[in-house]
Amino acid sequence: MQPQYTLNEQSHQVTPVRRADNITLDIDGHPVTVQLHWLDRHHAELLINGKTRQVYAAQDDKRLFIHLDGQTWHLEAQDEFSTGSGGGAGSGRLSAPMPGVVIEVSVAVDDEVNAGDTLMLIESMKLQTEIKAPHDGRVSAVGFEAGASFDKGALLVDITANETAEEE
Amino acid sequence: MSTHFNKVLIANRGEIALRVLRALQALDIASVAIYHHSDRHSPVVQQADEAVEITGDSPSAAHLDISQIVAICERLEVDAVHPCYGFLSENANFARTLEAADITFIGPSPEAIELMGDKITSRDFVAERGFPVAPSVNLNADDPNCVEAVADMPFPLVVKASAGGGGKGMSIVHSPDELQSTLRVAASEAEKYFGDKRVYVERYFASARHIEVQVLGDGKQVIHLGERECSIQRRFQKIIEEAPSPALDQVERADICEAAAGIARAAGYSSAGTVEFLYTSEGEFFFLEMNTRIQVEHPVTEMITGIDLVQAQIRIAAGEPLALQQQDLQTNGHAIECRLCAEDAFNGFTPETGKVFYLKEPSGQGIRFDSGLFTDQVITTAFDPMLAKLIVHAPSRQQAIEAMGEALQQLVLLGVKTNSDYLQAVLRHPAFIEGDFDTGFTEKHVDELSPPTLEREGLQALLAAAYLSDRSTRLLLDATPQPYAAIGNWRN
Repeated sequence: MQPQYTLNEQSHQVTPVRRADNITLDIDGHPVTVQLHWLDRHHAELLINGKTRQVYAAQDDKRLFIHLDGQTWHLEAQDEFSTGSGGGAGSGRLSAPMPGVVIEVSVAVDDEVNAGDTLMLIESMKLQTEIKAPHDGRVSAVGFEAGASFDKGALLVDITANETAEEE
Repeated sequence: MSTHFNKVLIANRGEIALRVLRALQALDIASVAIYHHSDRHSPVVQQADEAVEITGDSPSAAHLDISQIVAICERLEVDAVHPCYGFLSENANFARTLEAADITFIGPSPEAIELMGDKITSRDFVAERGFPVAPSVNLNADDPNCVEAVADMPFPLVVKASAGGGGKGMSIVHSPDELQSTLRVAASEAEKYFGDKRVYVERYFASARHIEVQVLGDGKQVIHLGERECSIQRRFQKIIEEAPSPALDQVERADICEAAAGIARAAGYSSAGTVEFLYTSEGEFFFLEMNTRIQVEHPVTEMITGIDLVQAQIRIAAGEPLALQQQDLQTNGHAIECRLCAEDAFNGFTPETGKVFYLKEPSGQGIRFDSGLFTDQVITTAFDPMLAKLIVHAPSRQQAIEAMGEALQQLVLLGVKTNSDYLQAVLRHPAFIEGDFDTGFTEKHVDELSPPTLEREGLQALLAAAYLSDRSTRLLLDATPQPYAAIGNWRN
């Protein structure tokens, strides 16, 4: 596997080439010679391109947090096969655009709803937002009860579109 | 110390609870921290003389539970409670309940809290005493004729909750068609947050500054400690504050500060308080509201006056008279505060969550870091996104801006995205450096306040650091004997 890192939605490739006193890496197609000396578990000195830079690093599974020259960067180590695609447009899956708290749930599973109906009232950043049905359908999932808090991307409500005309 | 409190309970959490603990320690008063389970490892819980867990449906609910907190005070024989800011700090009922239990509320009287806590009442009070307030109309959102009531007012308008404040329960309305629905939402939010759905509509000054004045009263006299400039805001919440304001000349400064002290005096104010004003580009100023608590941004005033405001609050609550006369006030240099928030500042300031894997606090001459952060702390949305405050003090505004930029770069916090880069972008912006801004700054310059970019060498350094610190690489390096690596077998 070739290590890849995503930074600001751009993918970068780092390939180890050679390791002696220095380490040679191929970064996005360019060879670079580096040395890294760890001063403690999170703090290292990085010698690269003739310059010594202070690096602070931490890792949470695939996510890397690197502080370099006064700025902190968030990188994601990529799995080769991860695609990262979610529900497409027109989907009835309503996910949280940001973390928050559910204030009120107006529907239950199996309720029939019309486009524009209020399904849930959520609060993020001290602002309340009504989650509305994007289309007619039946509620197939309600992710949270009132009072529960949710993370970014969590499924709030799922609406299954009605089968067309058959029942009528 | 001559204060007669033996034991004080800190009814809050985070950086401000720790800040109040420091003041109690300096005054040699025993401390009690209260905490929700999720904060059990926080520094104030570790460092206070006693710590008691509080429970509730949510962490915030626990901190708002008056009867639970008063019961703890009684059980531990606490003399006084410091409410800090937020939670119960401006809750007159809390102050009264404590009073009835013979416990001192470290803050103003319940009457002063009520007077200033209700924005409609406080505006009327201030206007009746001849101080300037912005044109406004009180409205009932349920009244079908309410839109007509503001027919004479020029748009944009701002809808505010009477029980609101600190940026909560505010919405700007640009046209009459939006007014009805905005009023309805504002009233519903106000009812939910404050249990009071009254709202009012005020003329919105698109290019005004937010300038506030720190006051201290002991019930007999009131002095001011100068102003703070708080115009750099996002979503009506301050993110950078400074003292003094770069906008005021000596005459304007004296006018606004004396107005603030006059308003507090008229209210018979005791304790620390803040009178907030709108300051227009024409040099007019209007009373906005008075906050009857210690403010988040109080350190900038402390830095330039040398007065410890929290200690002053405690001494006043203990019955000591003000130690300072107005003519003795001296200010020195310039102070800036940046609020470090867990948010994606370049992407609509949406809240971020995470965990503190590593923290290195900035330090040095003139640098103060007020924080309750600790390693392994889990950052959730249960509380406000503000994580810490970085404050710098320097001889001049220019030097303070530079020192702040360096201190922000020194600060290392790994594991949760913060607004540090955004704050640095504001500090570098020419309009900020010139002092040429108003409360619309962050919106006006949204395109220029962009995330940092990396030139090629920087990007290489970052990617090399990422690769070499990546746990899987470290495992690989440890497992690969050097001779083989050296001849190229290392390639995988």
